[in-house]
Amino acid sequence: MFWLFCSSLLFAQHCKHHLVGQVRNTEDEPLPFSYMLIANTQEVLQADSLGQFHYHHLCNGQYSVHVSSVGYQTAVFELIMPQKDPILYVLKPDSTQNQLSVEVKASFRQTFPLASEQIKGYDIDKKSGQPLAEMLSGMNGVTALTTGATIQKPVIHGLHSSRVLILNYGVRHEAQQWGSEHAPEIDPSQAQKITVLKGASALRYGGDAIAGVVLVAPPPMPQNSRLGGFLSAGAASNGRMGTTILQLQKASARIKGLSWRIHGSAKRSGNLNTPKYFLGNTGLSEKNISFALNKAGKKHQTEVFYSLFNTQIGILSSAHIGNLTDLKEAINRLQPLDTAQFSYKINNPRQDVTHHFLKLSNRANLKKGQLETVYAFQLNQRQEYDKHRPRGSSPASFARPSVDLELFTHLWEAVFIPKISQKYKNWYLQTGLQSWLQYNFAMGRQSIVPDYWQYNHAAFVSTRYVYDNWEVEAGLRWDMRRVRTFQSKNDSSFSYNLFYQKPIGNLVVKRSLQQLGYIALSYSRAWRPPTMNELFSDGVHHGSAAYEKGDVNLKVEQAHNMSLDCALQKGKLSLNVSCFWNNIQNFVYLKPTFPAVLTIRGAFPAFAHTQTNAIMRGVDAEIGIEHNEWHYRIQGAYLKVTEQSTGNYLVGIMPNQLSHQMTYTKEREGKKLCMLSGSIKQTLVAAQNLVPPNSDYAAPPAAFMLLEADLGCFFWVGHQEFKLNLSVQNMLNTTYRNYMNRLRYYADETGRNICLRLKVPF
Amino acid sequence: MLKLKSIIPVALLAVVISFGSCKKDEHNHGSDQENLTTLKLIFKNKASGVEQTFVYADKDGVGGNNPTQDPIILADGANYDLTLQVLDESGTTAKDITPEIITKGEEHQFFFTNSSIGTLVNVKYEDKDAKNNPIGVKNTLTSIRAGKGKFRVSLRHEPNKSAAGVKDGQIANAGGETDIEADFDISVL
Repeated sequence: MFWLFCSSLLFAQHCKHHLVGQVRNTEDEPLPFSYMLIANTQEVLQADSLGQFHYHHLCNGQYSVHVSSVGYQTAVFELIMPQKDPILYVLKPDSTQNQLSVEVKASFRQTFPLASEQIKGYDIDKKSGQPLAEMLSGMNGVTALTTGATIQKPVIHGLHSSRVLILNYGVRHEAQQWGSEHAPEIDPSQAQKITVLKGASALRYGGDAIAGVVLVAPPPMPQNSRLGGFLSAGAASNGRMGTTILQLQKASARIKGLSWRIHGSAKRSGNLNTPKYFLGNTGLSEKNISFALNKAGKKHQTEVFYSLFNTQIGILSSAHIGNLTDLKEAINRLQPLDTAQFSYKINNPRQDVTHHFLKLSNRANLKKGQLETVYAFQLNQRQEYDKHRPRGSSPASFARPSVDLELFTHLWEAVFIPKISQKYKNWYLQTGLQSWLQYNFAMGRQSIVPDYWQYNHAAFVSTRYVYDNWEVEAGLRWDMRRVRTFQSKNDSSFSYNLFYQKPIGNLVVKRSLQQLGYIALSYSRAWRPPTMNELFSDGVHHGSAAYEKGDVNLKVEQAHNMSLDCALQKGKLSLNVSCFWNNIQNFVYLKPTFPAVLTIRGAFPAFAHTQTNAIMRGVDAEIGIEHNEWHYRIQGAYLKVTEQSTGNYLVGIMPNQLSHQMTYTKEREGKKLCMLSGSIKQTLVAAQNLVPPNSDYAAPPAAFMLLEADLGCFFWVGHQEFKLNLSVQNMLNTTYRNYMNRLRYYADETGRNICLRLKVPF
Repeated sequence: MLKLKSIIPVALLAVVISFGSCKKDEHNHGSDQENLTTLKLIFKNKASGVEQTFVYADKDGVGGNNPTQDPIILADGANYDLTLQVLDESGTTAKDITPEIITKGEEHQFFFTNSSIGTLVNVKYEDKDAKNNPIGVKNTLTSIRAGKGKFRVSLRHEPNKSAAGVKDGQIANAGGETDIEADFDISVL
């Protein structure tokens, strides 16, 4: 504290010293584009393509510099200015591969991450083969909303779907997210790090992220001209699943700064089983491929990225039902009527989804700052097949899906981070423009959403001011959306023009407690225009036995979000607490309406997309204790959601949960010894009792307890490294049903699953 | 100036791709799915030969107006031929779906349930599919006692006809998916 105070005095006097130097590895090769964080001032420098750097505004005094480069261990160097000779920073290779210092990058690229959780490296490998939402669901305050075991979407603080923004490679993922049974079309195996930003404070990404943002970030591009990458294979007992992942990457030896990466993965699984029976038609087939090409020059860094995601998912056949009578019968049965054996075959009902994603981006280091421009194209094709073939008489129609949607999205973005002159060195500024154009074609026999065109434009500016131990962040963002729809019903066509626009803002005050951690208070606004299904759905979605009615007059949803976050660490003890209060005006939800809708197919429970003002409040807390190789942590999430006017509870909110985990990690010594890591985790999920009476077909399922464990070992055979991991989910083979699973009416959750994975980096 | 230069390549590529990908035109809403809108129960008194027809109809589909149903009125102690007819009346011309149900008889079965069955009337299947299981388009109905009750006609798509009791008209183990579930009021006078 005292020292920092002194150094800030010094700034005023001799702050014209030059620092010149180079970053090299232990073999004396220069490390291009390394990052240097000057901890005292939080300034970040980047070395050029020869690993050289220069900086001209240092004062007299002592600095600590964190130096990091891809594939090397981050090191902290003490620096005393003035310094006459060039400095040489030497980094040692990092055997755990690709551990780019995340902190450095984060503070450079983004505003400080409040209430965020992260999963990276080995933790991603450990869950390889699982869907994105499942990977995230170990985080505090994050769960998964599932339809069976294979379709999952992330839930943050009880909110999901269009309220959770997913950024894949820095671009907002645009897909048909109309129902809870639509999972995000992203292959998490290509991510190096997945971050969840809770709350609405991430203005840069979108004004509609009422619940939060999920950032799926790729590993940094390779710097080494040797062909590298990894091969990974996995097998799981439940569903007899097999996965393979191959990644190849290389930097060009001839052209400086040019590098490429290819990533492919394939996954196949058959019918899953609960502790007592097989779940009919729950197989899955997934294929992904992606390609990245990067050219990093002194001034420009240009990237082309393309990925293709394709999946075929079988839907539990006994969950495909006709009407209310069928549903009641299904609930009263202890297990599904269709008894199944193991099979890899995927029959109807099923989903067939393809997602194309192309991104072109350029980052320019200009005299006045850094400019990042992005163009991205996404095509999302979704086909859903019903259990029964359509009644049409033409044989050709048998092969046609009942839901057939194609969504095209073009996105443009420009973000500018100006260089701040010495006079305003405590300031950080980021500003940007975003536009996306979207059109949707609905071609199936059933259309959940109409054909439409949609234009979106947004502008934002975000500033941060650092003074002593205080940091203040404030931002403003403006979004607009124009929609034109085209529909036809009973031989007449009609169309709607809709327009929404709103400014929002946020304010965050953070107090650093030095080595002890920080405490921060934030307030943010967010808003979300109603989605297409909330506006236009009108009919029975086959297989879900519910009549849904949209409302074209729905107003925009607006959120006021307050949160208090603190992260503290002292000795072996750490504490992370996030308290939040979220008031959502015009919160859109599905409200049961009475009486049930009567049709020739019988009675259907009716739901209308309705708005109310909702208040959500909750706490996520985590306590950790570290002792030598042992790490124990206990985490809990509490959430309560009520309607503001009546105080009634709302449906579909995640139940409270508590988990604790003991981890043992023995670091390897030299190349000979194996690195061992093992953990055991117990999770307790409460019954969701905070539901309105008579709001559900069946009472919420009972509380349950799950046990999981994993054992990992990194070992060497000659010069080749192997990473082996064995994990067991639902160790006790517990029979349970989960409130957050839409298929809970029909069948139990899956039973014990033993997975073995081998990763061979090269 | 520099700023502008750095955007140009990305912007140009963007424009090329945006236009390149716009040539989507095989847009087709073709809905050749039949909507079942109408169920007709045709009762023919075996003794007198008199025909009575009672209709359950929901011509505008789900939502909109509620379906209409005629109350069934039968004479006590009589034998009827009960024939079912299913129609699609959602378009301008009505389409008879019954022949298709008979052709794909193995995938379909009608069931007669609710309070009147066994108390006011008895229904017996009089037709067979290719595997010698009932379909339920042609039946005989006998009225056994005067009174009022409910008469439900269900059509199951892809039922399990070999499950216990299904051949005899018990719906409990039939499974499949409900295509029709029409509730009538019935009076036996």
